Amino acid sequence: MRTTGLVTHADPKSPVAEAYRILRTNIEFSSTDRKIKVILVTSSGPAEGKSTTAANMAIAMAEANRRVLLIDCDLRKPAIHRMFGLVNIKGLTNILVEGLKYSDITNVTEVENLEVITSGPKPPNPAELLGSQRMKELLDKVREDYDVVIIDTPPVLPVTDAAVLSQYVDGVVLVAGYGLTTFEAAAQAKASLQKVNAKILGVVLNGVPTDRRGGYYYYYYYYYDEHGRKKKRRSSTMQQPISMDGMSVSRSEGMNL
Amino acid sequence: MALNEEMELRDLFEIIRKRLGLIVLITLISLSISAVVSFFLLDEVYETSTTLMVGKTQNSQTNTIEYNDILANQKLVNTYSEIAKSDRVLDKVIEKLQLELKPSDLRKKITVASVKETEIIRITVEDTDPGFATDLANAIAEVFMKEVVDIMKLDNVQVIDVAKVPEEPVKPKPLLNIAIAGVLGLMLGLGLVFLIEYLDNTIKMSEDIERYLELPVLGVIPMYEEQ
Repeated sequence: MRTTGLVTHADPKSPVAEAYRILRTNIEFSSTDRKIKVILVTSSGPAEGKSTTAANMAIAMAEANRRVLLIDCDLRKPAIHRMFGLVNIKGLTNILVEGLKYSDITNVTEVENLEVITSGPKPPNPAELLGSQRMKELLDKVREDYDVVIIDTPPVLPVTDAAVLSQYVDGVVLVAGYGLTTFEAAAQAKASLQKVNAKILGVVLNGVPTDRRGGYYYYYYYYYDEHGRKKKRRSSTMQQPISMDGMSVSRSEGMNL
Repeated sequence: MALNEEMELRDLFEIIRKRLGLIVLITLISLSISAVVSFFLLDEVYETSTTLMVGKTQNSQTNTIEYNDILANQKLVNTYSEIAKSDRVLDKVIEKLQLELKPSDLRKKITVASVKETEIIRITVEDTDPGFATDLANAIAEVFMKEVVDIMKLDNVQVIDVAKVPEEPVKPKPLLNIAIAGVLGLMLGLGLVFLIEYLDNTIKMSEDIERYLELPVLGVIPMYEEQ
């Protein structure tokens, strides 16, 4: 998996971090009828950037002064703990199997406002655990305690974990890898999720090469570096955040949501 | 997937640019194959020709050339062309030159055509041996004239030009071949690149996501190279 790491935290001025902030804005505005609080991140297949997207999305949201909890629900190939440099001895499976209190398991991270529950030891029956009553109760609890809960899951097509979990969440973000995810796979993933009445918020296209492809152009914008000098920076336009009712949300730099 | 009616010129260039190496490679391969074949494998072919005139009969009554005679003669040209290539003529040519060839083999080397709108027949011979081509062309002309007298009971064919030994081969034309191969290779390369692109059904454009998946695009995350 090509991990971008926690670029949103490590290099907040980078175009990538900017892209995650735009993603955050779009998710905020992707549902008008109700608040999107618990967001599940998945993809059709492996290595499309689910964990990267989930982690950076969580950071972008934490930056906007929201209390964010990131739960690694990929009990098969957990990755979140590694990204945050956390030890994965106790985690989600301990909550689901042993009934531990989640507040005892939650890790604080170097990112302010962002806490993480790692996956915990590998269980033999991930899908069953994730569909359990305890999981539902956990999500009900954390919904009260946090502004946003982001859930990283295994891919949709090989296993049912994500589809099972999608019943308990407010929205699903489908990650697609540029030049990696086929339309067939993405459509299948969409169908599997819709079968269980999941609310798909939309797609995140990951790993787009920064050349002129698909509405993705270089342009120069100025930003101030730490020393207050104006620097010319090569960057890319992201698409504008989704406009709603004709209202277009402009670039979300420094927007407090 | 990207190849649709909405595909812009920019996308086309982008596809070409992305796989320029492949296009160049295929072009170079076809260029070198054609060069090798032209310079080393193809035999040099020489061409020479003799021209005959279907004119007035020698024992003609009048000295004026009638328009109708010319027309008739032009019609005769086609007949003569066939006669020149007939087994009857070619068998005699083989006999005369003491060749070990069948008339059908010989016929492949010969082109008989009337020079446009005239009463002139050109017998063209192609062969790898320039001397032999010359002998053959002249032998055919000679035999043909004798035979025409026999067959048509007319003696109205004269030789205008006898075949001369050619100095330069007409085939192969290495530069022409290489140029053609270059163009073909380029087309093949382009075709292949667009085929690859067409068969690539991975997601590449946010517009495609909206179009085919009918889902909104929430974000486009650039590739990130860790420093």
